[in-house]
Amino acid sequence: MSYALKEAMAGLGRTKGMGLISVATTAVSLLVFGGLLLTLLSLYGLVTRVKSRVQIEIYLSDAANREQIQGLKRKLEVMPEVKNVLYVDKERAAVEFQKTFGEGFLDAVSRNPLPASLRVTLKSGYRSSEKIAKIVKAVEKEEAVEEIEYGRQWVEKLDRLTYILSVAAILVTLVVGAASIFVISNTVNFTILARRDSIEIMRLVGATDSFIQAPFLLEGIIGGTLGGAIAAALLYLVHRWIRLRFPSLIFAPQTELAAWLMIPLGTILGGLGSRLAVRRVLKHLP
Amino acid sequence: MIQLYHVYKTVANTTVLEDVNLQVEKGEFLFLLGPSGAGKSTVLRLIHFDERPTQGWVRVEDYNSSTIKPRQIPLLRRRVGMIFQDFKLLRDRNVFDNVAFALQVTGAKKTFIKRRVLQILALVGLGHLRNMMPAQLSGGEQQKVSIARALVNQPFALLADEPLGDLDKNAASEVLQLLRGINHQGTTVLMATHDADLVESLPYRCLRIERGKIL
Repeated sequence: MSYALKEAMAGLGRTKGMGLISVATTAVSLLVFGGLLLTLLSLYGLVTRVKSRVQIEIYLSDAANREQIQGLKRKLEVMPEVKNVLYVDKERAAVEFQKTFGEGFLDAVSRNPLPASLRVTLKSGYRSSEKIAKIVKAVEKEEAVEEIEYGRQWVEKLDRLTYILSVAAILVTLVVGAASIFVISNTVNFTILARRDSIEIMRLVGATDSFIQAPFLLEGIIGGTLGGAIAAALLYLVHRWIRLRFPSLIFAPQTELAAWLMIPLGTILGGLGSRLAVRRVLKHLP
Repeated sequence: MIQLYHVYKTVANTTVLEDVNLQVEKGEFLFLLGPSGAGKSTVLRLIHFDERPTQGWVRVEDYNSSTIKPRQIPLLRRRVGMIFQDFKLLRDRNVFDNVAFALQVTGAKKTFIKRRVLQILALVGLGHLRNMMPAQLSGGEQQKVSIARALVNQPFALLADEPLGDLDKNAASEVLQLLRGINHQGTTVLMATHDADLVESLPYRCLRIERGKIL
């Protein structure tokens, strides 16, 4: 093992240019990959944040009595999708209305025209138009219910956006990930081909394949990790800059964690790429 | 013991070797004489298991080409040293490291490697050049380094593929003397050459090979 490590370090030193290119390739690949992923994650965070404001407002008929309202509230509360239900009585509705539209409007009428309502907040996994529709359907026939409102078009749009973003994230992961492996493996391939002679000589003197592979693998892992670290540091800095500069753009703090993910990813890509390459070269040598 | 038994070798529909039978006894010095392209190198490569016969089999000590497992091939190569016309030294390592390389591959201990390499360099008469780089050496000296590397694992046989081809007369004679000395100490030597005069001047058995056939 110590031999392999020594050789790996010597190898990086010996073919300095190649080592540099391979580290730079990994860094650039992961930068593109990480950049896209972070953008998507931020957008996803943004949409989730907007969706968290989705509420169902169930307006109650003025004729509804206390038991009917309590019954409806309990019925809603036991639904698995529902996080909580808030009863907003007529007075509170008036206060909220005045807060939004200013005083004066209500003075014109003799009696409070605003209906009482039940305000339903949903659990995070259930904020889709489908789930909302289910809840609406379950309660709309109740006697106490006058009208139900939830910004249907908005919710549906957000649903579609979430779906598109998820698909895009998967596609980006697959396509850019595969491209990264391809590019890195090819770069490593070059570094190995540059040392074809020494591989041939290793075989000549009776080195086992695993002995020959070990330094190249380690070199790939070290180079990959280094490239990953560069990508992670750059992503982190850019992310931080955007967060400080435009705080409203980045909502999910975990996107910052995703930046550091580029380091282990670089390790894996470097190892995988060099393993692919070294096996290919060994196969074609006698 | 080395044996080729009814060996055929075909590469891309071209017959390189045809029904080659040959046996090298332990401790023997044997010449394989023939023009270039006759199949000498292929015979050596078959014995080193760089290639496998298309038909027939090759046996080297207890290893047989028809039954050997891929993981055994490196072990066999440590038992059979090989040298070439172009030396095949690592250009980026000095003499000592080039020779030590063949021992590192076996997982030998550092102290053992040092002792053994210095011993073998002394044997080929290059102890004083151990810190030089290959490019700083003459052709003869480089060939001696490659011989030292081939011998450092104490193989029972040494395969030499035109080892004097690139050397001037003096260097060639020195390297030849070295090979004879090694053989004298018990190592089997199988040397491929196109130099008929050289073969005739020495008292060793010689097999002629032409167009893939032993004559």
